[in-house]
Amino acid sequence: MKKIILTIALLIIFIKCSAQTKLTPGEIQGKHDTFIVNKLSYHDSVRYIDIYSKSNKYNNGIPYTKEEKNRTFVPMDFRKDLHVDKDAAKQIIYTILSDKLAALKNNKETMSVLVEFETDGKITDISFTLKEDTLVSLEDIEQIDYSLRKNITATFTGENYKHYIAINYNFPVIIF
Amino acid sequence: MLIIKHKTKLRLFVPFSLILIGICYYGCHKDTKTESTANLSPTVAQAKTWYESTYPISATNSKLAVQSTGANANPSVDLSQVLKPDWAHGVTYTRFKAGVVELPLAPSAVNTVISLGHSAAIMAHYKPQYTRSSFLLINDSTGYHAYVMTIIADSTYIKNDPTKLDRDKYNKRDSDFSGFCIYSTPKGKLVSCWYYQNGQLFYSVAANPYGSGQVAQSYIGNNGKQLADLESEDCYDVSWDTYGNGELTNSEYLYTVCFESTGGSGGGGSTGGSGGGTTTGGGVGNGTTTIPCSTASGSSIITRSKSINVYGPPPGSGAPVGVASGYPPPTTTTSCDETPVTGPNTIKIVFCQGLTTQEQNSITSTVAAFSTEDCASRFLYNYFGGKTISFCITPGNYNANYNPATGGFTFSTDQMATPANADLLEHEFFHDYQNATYPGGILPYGENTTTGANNPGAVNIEFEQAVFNDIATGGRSAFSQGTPQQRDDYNTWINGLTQNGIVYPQLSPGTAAYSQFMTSYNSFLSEYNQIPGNAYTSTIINLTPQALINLFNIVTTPNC
Repeated sequence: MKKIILTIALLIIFIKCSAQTKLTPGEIQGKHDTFIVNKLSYHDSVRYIDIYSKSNKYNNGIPYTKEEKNRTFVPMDFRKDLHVDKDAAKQIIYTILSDKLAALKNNKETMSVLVEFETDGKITDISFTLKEDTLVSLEDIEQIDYSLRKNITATFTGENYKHYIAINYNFPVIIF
Repeated sequence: MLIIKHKTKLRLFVPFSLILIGICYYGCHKDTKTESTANLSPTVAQAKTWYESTYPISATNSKLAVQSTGANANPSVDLSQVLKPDWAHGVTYTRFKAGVVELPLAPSAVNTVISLGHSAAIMAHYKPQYTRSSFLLINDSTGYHAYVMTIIADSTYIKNDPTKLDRDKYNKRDSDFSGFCIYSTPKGKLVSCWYYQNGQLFYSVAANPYGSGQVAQSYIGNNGKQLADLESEDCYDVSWDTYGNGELTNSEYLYTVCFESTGGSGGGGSTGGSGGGTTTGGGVGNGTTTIPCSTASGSSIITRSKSINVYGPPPGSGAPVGVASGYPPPTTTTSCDETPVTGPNTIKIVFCQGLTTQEQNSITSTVAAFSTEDCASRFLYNYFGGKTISFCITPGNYNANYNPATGGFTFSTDQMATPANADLLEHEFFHDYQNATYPGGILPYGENTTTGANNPGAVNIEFEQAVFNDIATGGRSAFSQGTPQQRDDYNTWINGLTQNGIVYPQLSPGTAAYSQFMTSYNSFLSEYNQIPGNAYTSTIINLTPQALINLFNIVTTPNC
């Protein structure tokens, strides 16, 4: 009986582990979406990758609007005019990664999240930067990506934001 | 034989006694007067008058003033009762725009010392004989402030030559100094602590001894006993010690300074991390609480305490050869040498003709708003402080611009010249700083007014400004139009340079960090130049971003 229980337990662990897709450079098919993983340039002793959905709207860059090309254009001051609930975003990430937090801390991991908000405040693009040897899986990323898009919106003040197609925002780096 | 009768004796005794008393009185009176004012310069005499009225010797002359504990508790030792300035040997000078009277301790303190503790490890490095305290009376625009400045030199610096301590004063610092510079109030409260290694400032901890929410420094007694719960960290119980015949005879706890190399989940800044990994903690406390301080590893910062700020490393250029420019002021909020340029604080604004009073007021308000946008803008404002700068409102194909030929600024509309757009001035004032940095200025790198095309180097100037802006504000504007990979790569680079937004990069030519920075900078410059639709695209020239490097070597952190 003990052997059976042990075997089942090991099987469950194996299945759970094997269900975690490692983030390796290239295109990776998730449950609902395809993600692109790139190795980033080497700037210090830690090597990083980024990962983002292939279906992001501006994977080729956000075009300049006519207003932005004009030299009279006043750039938006994101410190004053872009408002987003950073804590809520962090909470989403921590909740999804709750089982891994200790391991992520042990692996000295960080996560950078860059998003593009459209002028209605909705997220249109998200990209994540992680350590190359991250313990975060594709499944985690897909879930975080989905939850952030669903739950996080930006509000804007002033008028300048209206002249952009999309507005770039970097969340504070999460240090596990 | 002369016989003096009793009555005659008495008659002689009285005037003789009066003369003797008179001589004694005169002699004593003369001495007292000498110690009070005679031979003192007016500056020292004035400082002495202020000090003695502010910190009078109590009637009982009690050495210890054991107080109640709690957030506003006073320290266990009132240094003003046990340490006295040697007024006759005061030195006066001006530093950081304040009058300074620097005074050694009076000889009565010869057997006392402020120390970091008594463990074998501490005593090996920080011997009592390598420690020296002095009084600083600083007279700034708000009046006099008194401090006890204690230099605790590392034995590796002293190298058996205690006379090296003579090279370390408030206004001069030996170029290879290693050890601590601690400022406390005469009442014995910590003001700030600065730690140097081989002339380089590593870290510091600063408290606000006069402000609200100050750190409790309660009496723990037991002569500076090391507390068990602090032993795992790099903590020092700073105490006031008395020696007799070379032996420690008494030690009274003052406060604890902690240096901790790892940290937990600190609160993130507005632009930076959400705390954690590289965060450090430490500070001063009552022996039961550790509060942020510093480390010797190169990572930094925290703000876990209301009244403690920890500052990052100093400008990478380090101290000049020989005698450096002294120690930071006791209550500084930056790790400053005297090198930061801080002219008279006000930019003198002149207006172009034709501006209405309302427009003039709006420009004045905008410049004022710019001056407090962030630490970099504060620096830029001070850098140009005292300079006369013209401001205009003239319609044109720009929002605001800086003219390197005239040094003037122009807004295109009234709307641009409002505090809501003060960030435009940060952009333009950085160009002004570039203009002051590069030989020949930046005029050759602007737009060709005939063809409308950008001259070679235009992209260098604008990319440097964009990187400056992104480091100073936490934004990532330079590659906002780039691909996700470019944005992530750039974001990672800036995060690395700023340790996730908590310090500004310190870069010294010849170091590996500098080489790596230049490689990455030039790589991003090239990519930036190729972003489709970039209005600043031009021929790239070989131009080291010296303005950016210089600025962040002076303005070291976003917490100013």
